[in-house]
Amino acid sequence: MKKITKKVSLLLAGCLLAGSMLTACGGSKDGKAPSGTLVLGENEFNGLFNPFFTSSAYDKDVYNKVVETLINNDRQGEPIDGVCKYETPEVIKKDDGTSQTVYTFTINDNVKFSDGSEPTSDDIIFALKVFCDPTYDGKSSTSTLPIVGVKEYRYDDPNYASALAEIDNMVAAFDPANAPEDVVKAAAESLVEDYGIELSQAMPGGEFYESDTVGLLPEFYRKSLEKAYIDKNMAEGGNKVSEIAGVERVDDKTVKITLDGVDPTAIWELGGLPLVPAKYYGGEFEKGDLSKVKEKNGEPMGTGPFVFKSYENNVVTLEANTHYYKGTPKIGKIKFQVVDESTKLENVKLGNCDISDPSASKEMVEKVDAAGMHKELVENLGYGYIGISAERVEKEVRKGLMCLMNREPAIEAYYGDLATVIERPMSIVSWAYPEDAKPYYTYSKDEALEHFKKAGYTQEGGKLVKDGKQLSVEIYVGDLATHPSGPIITQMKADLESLGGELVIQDVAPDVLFDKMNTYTADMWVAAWQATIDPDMYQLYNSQSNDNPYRIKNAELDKLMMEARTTLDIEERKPLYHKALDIIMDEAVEMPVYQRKNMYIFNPANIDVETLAKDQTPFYKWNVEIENLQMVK
Amino acid sequence: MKNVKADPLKFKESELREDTSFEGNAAILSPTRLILKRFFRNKLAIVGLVILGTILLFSIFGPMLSPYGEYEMFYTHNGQEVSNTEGYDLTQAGVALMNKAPMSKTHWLGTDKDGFDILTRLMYGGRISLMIGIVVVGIELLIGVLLGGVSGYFGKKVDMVIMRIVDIVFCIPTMPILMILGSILVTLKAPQQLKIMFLMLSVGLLGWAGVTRLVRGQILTLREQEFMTATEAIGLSTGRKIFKHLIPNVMPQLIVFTTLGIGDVILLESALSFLGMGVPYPYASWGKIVNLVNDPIIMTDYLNMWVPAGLLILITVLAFNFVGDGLRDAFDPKMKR
Amino acid sequence: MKQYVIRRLLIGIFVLFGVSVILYSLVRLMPGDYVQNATAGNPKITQEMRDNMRRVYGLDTGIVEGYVKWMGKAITGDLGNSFVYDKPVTDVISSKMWNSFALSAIAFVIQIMLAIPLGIISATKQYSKLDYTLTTFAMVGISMPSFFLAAILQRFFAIGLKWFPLSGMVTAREDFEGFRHILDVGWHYILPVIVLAVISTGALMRYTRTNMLEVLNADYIRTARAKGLSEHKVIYTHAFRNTLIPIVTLVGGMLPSLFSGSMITETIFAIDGIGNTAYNCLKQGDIPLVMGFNMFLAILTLLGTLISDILYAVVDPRVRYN
Repeated sequence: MKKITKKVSLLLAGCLLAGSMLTACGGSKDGKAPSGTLVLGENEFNGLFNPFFTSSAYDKDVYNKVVETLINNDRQGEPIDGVCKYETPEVIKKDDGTSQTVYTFTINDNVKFSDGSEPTSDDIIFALKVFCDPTYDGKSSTSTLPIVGVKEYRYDDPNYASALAEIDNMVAAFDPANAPEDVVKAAAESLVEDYGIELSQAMPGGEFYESDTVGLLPEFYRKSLEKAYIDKNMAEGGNKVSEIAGVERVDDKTVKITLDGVDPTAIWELGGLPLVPAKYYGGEFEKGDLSKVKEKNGEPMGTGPFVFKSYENNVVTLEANTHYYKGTPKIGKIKFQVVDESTKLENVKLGNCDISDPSASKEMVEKVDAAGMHKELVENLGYGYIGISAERVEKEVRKGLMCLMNREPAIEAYYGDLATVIERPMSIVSWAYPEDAKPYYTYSKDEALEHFKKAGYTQEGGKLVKDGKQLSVEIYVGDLATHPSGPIITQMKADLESLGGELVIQDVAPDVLFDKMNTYTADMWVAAWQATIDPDMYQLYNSQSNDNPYRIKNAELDKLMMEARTTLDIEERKPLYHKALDIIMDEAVEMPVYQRKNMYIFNPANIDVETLAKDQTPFYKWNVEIENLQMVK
Repeated sequence: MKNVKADPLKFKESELREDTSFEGNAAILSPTRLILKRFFRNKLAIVGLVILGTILLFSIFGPMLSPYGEYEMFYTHNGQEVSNTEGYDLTQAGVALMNKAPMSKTHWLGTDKDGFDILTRLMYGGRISLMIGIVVVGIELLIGVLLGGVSGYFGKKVDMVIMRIVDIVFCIPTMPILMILGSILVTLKAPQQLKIMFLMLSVGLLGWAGVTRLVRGQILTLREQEFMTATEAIGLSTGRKIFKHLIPNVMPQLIVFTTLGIGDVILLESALSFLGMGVPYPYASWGKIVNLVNDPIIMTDYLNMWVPAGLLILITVLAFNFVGDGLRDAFDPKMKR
Repeated sequence: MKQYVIRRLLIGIFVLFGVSVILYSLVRLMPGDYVQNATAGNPKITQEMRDNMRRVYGLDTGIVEGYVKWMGKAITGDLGNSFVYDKPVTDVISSKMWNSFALSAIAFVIQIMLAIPLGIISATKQYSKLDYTLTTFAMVGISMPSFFLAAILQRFFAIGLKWFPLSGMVTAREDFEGFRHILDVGWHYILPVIVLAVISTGALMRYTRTNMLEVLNADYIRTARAKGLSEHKVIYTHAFRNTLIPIVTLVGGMLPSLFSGSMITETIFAIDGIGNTAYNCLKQGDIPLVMGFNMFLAILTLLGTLISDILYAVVDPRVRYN
């Protein structure tokens, strides 16, 4: 029954729309009523168009036109007003030397949800609560922000601070001799992983137990206590703490959020909160139960320029939102048509789609031009690199390998002008990339050999040997069709072999590559980073971080990155990052390879290209001003 | 003494005479010759045989004749062609990768997107693709004949157990499982060449159920025939009975299965390559090469990169099918012509 | 007969159990679980969050424990929630299955309508030029990788001649309803249907030909000819009916596989079918869906063999099961 009613209502909507289209014909000359259908050629959807739970960038493309974030960014990637006013965060220095940052968001008066109702501060708080819910299992990391009181909320423990203090006391009073068995085992296992020794050698009675394992016990004891605490509290559930202390509802339209410390990336997490009607998504929202939010997985709703209509037959349909605060969009409908990567250009040429984004290569651009399509080239916010594990390959060998990477011919052949070889591990789009960067390692077999010799390798009988073992490195590559590193590593293989070493290429599926990388079990790997607007790279290179795939441990680097995090001033942060990047290069854990451009193509027969956003940048693409876009006719 | 010496000669002479007269009177051929005669009546089968011969020569001896290596890369410098193995100074300005080169005298089919010689890779790829086909079918035959023979001969509980295993293996979907196995294999620290072996092993391990059913079915009927009672009477060992007397009778079906099976496996390999599993970079297989068609530019503008590999797969599998079909017709005793 | 079916079903349950054990252990052995994949791009995700997600997704248990949990639910028909779609696996499969079915069913009908007549013609004219031509065409079809054929069709019929759409299921720009919608879908299905039909027709045609040849050499056909019946009558009344027996069993056995989708063809033509879905989920480590889909395939295979065995008894009165 349900299904039938749904279809009927859809039909009705169709009729209504047909009616409005008819009237629109008369009025379209003055350019007021929305008209025309825009077809976008997109990659496959998961159908999870929920700003809280999405995991696919393509799903995001859809709901981004329906749901807007609190603030936006301008062409340079600086925060500006969105549905909320942007206010510079206020840093409060406290007497005890610590500081707090206060973010204020005020919803603009003219903003309305697509059903005509007005958003309030409760909607913002609702979004934050969903992300910080103990049962939240989506992929957003908002709950890791140091929002005051977020831990108390998440673990549902008003006495979180004292629980922490108790753990501290227990660790202080900890006697390694009485360590629980599982703690000893965990510590010993970490040694096995790090040093490649036998487990028994690190266990009590083993030769390394006293010297190495014991020293690690307090740290692992703390970890086990923390884990036990978290497990207990997360599993229990409950509603002892029903509000997040650092989130203040100032009035109907204004919310203040207080964070411990200073974090330049926090504005993008908080400003990136979706403004959605709490009533629609949550109804009577209760902590610990997100099932109602998930019920709306397939049908997003918000303040955006378009309203979600349907997703069927691999086509998503959106319609113009007449309540949109910047004015009703010029286009009546947007359709997202799923197309295979290999047919994107042809689909636009044939007029099946109006806009698509085939991956840009020298020849693709030539074809686009030859076909008379309009194109926009925008730098990609991210870069490709070849990584080396500091844990598995010694430093001089790493440097030697760096000297065997002949990047230019490969990039030139694959991309031509559409990509540049970069010299520091940072997207050149970011202000943190040093403009005058020179190559740190040049391609030279002789220099490579010198480095290998420094590492203690000698050439014996045509083989590079140290302690009777031949130099052998394993490199993991994922999707070589999209990464131009094939020729680089093929050349490297040939060169290393001629020097007497061995390069084993492991050609695997991308998910396997990520697994090898994240479990630190690959010597080398070929991958790419997607960058965020803020260049903070603490998580990737910090010696304490679990997400440091290079296993680089450099105290000076840690200090620099920490320092760069404590201020919001770009000019202050720049030199710190330049230094940090040099250290990373010297550690030879990551060879930056290329920065490429993304291409968007438009069929000028269908789209009025004059109405596309001007001066596009990686932060400000064509679809930012989609409400102004017009169809030809 | 004289008589003794003369006797064998005489005997031979008479035998010879008898033989010629026999053949002259009634044209009865040995089963093998009969089958061959029927096989060669089928023109498609002959065409298939010729194609297979050519492809085998191309793949086995081609790489020896080709001046290039499987993953030898070419650069150009000032209009001059340089191989990456020559020790040429590649750091000089103006050295460019010679990829997507058109067909020329030095590279008959041009070079691919990484600057490898396509023709040479087709030859090496042929080796791999054919080897995968042959080894996989070999594994399937080995397991299938062994289990099918045992199952069919013993029947009862042994049969019950083996056939349930066969049912299970038969129900495991091949494609998804191969993809899963492929990613598991990576975690085993094995050199690249070994990974091809693993690939073949896993395809083989998933494909033997059909052979087992075939062999078992045949043996169930053969078991009851008189010649088996005879082996019983002589007191032959079980192993001898199964593998010397029963299996040879299933041979025709097995030969047909082999030819058709190799073709199927070559196709399977190309499908796996399409889904990103398959032979690892930088090694070549036909499936891997024809997959360049996924790149829209290569699909429309560089037919020389993917069409030859596709055609090679096509005609090879076609040839295997022709031969297999021809053999089946020839083996079938009910076929009169 | 009833007893036989019941016995087969019982064996089927045992087989499914075995299949599920093997599948589950393989799936869990895959490197890089879903959480790892989903969070790989975001360096801000902490280990604690990953652990929490693993707990929610049931990935924190060992293989044996995980299997018991999965099985416990699966018996009651609950295959869990797909990680990728965040919907019950049964819903995902049942919603995508029909697109695949429509595609395969059309191809299936075409395949039968081509293969059986051509196979018979080919057999009656064995070793003639017509036989050679037909056999060659059939074989070319089964000897081609499907994506190779798809690429060629797309290049010529969609890009070159512009006769058919390149990919997709509907004309996105239009909002067709009712009959026009069906026509539109049909128009989009033409190329993928051709691919599926071409790569499968050969096998059935060859099977028909072989069977027909066998029948044509049987004694009763000789008798029929000796009676002086016309060749047409001999072939289409006497021989054809007997050829049908093995063909009906084979074709009946193929029915369930119409629901299984086709990974490659659906991907190339952007059709929202079950094969394409399974392929995407497999890449992302969506264990409940991969398990559900593969068990679904296993059930289809079992059903296929069961149907063909039963049909065998129905069509051929000499066969008795007990």
